Amino acid sequence: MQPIMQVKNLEKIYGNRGNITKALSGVSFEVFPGEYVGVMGASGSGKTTLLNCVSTIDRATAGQILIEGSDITKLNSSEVADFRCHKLGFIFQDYNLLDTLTAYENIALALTIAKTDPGKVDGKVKAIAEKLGITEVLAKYPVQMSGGQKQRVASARAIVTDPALILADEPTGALDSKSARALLESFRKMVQDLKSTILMVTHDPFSASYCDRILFIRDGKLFTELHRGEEDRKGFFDKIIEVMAVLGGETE
Amino acid sequence: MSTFALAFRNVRKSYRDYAVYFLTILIGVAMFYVFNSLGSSAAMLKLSKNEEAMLMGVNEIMSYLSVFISMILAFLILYANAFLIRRRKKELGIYMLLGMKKQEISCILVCETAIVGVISLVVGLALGILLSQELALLTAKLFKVSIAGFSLVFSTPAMWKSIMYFGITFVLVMLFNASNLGRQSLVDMIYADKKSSTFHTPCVGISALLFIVSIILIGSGYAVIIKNGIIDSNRPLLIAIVLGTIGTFLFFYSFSGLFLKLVRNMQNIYFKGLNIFTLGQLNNQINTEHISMSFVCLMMFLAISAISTGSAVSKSISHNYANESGTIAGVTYVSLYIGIVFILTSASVLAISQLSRSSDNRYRYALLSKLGADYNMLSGSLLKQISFYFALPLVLSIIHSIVAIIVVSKIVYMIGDVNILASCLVTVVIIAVIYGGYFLMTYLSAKRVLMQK
Repeated sequence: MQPIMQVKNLEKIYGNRGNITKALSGVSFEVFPGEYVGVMGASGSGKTTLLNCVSTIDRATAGQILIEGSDITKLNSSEVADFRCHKLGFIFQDYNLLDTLTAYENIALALTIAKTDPGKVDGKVKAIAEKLGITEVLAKYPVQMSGGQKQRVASARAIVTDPALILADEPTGALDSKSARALLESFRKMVQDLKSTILMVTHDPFSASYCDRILFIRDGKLFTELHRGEEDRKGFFDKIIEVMAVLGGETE
Repeated sequence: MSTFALAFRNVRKSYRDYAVYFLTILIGVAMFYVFNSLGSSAAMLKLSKNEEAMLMGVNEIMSYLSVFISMILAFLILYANAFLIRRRKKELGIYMLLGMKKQEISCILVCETAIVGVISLVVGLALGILLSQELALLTAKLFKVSIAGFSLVFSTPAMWKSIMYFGITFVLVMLFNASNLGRQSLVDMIYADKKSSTFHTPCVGISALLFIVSIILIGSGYAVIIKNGIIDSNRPLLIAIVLGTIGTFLFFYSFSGLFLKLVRNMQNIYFKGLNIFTLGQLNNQINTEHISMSFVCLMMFLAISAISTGSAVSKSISHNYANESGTIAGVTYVSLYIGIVFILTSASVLAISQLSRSSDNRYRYALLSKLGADYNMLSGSLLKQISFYFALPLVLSIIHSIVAIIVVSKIVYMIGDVNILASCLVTVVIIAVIYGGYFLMTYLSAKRVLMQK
């Protein structure tokens, strides 16, 4: 199987002469279609930098990021916009829904930015809402929704364009434990039923235990990798805790 | 760092935020000076005793009118200041967090107001002195006299009056800021930018009903005034004003809910590019600002009808009673003074309410760009929002004004044959310069927010 994303020797240096910070040095890994990959590390480890480079919000200093074969570090600004709306879906910690739009409109907007045929927008929004169980909140504005509902609307917005890769940045960070669990379940559903590919940055071992594979990052380098294999979630969780202890314990 | 130095740095650093505020006060001061300097322009003109007395009469009317105008400008400055302060809540909260006392922060704000006030007063007065030369020329034309010889007209009383009236306004601003700061809690200030805006959306059925009612009210107001005119009694005028005013407020209250619903049903427009976002923004803006938009519409209506009919009325008087120069000048100046100040106030109220959203909009545009909207889509949406926001009250006020002009022109034509189109042209030019200028300035500075990623 062809990988959906290949990161090769990724390097990111901040600052200039005399004051250099190496945020990422020589990170390489691959993500395959339908995989649910977690990225863990302490704050300052470089995991957010990695996510920013992959999402073209930040530019890598050296190395390559291939998504479906094409190198996204070489895109110009109009190609970047095109890449974001067709290939990527974003889920943020603080939901980032537009407060002036209803849930329905927030989801539909991702489609209209990607220049979807206007006749197909309504059907697609309703179908994805049905799958994520948010049909009843579609007419509501973000202020009228709970955190869990907002994050599921944000997930629907990320997935509705059928992107190659969904990037999730601490998606459970602002949720209570019950909503967090429900969201993580729906991520699994997105991977299993909708064949989505998810790259999720988190520092929470519980959230990470829902993943298929976890990349641990320390000081800008790939420290180790953990596969779930046939393990159940509880067992995988314990393994994650073990690695975290070796990694240095404190992950925020 | 001393309080004054900090205040000075704040003003210099955020001169872009202050630009609209500054420009508005500046033009306000200039207009105030110009129309109060009439008396002094007598020195430059070859006037007969009689004409001089008339000019002094006009000057007196202007000084009474100035009390009213200064109240409008004071309201405008307070309104603008309130927006500026709201935007800086977090910054002021951080000062407090760092251990500054509320009195010290008040001091900074007082200094800032003083700096902006002094600069805009000085520049405004300079501009006013320049413009008052033009006014002297116009006076010469209206009185049909020649200029005694060119000398720079400078009116000391007008200057002192401007300084006094605007000085009082700035003191009010300082008091407002101090009392406003006193009422704020630190936690609200620090999290000011985190608060999500709640806004009230009236339901579509009610919107539709109210919209129809507003159209009926406005329409019957028009009918009453066109049918009865204003010559026989004041009653129809009064009825029309009441109907039109209520209708206008209802119009802006109900407009966006209905408009949104209508566009939502047109899938080919609604589901195209950023239109969903553009409409959501407009709906939110019109809903939260419907009262100020109604005021803007009514002020623009008064301004347009004052300038258009004022000069027509005065021209027709001059046609019939060639010697009534004083009346002509009086009517012309009153209408110009009111007209210009109202257009200025309207345009800056719209500009300020738009620009105060810039910081909220920054995160919205950053998000849209992450979702894959490119720069052209974003600036296109911004242009649509601001154009629509400026156009909506203007269009309704123009329709109101057309009715008013028709009614007034009936009388004007009875007095004498005067081409009212010429004076409408003057109105168009003044609107294009002031209203158009503020529109452009709003668009350009809102667009700058897009560039800061």
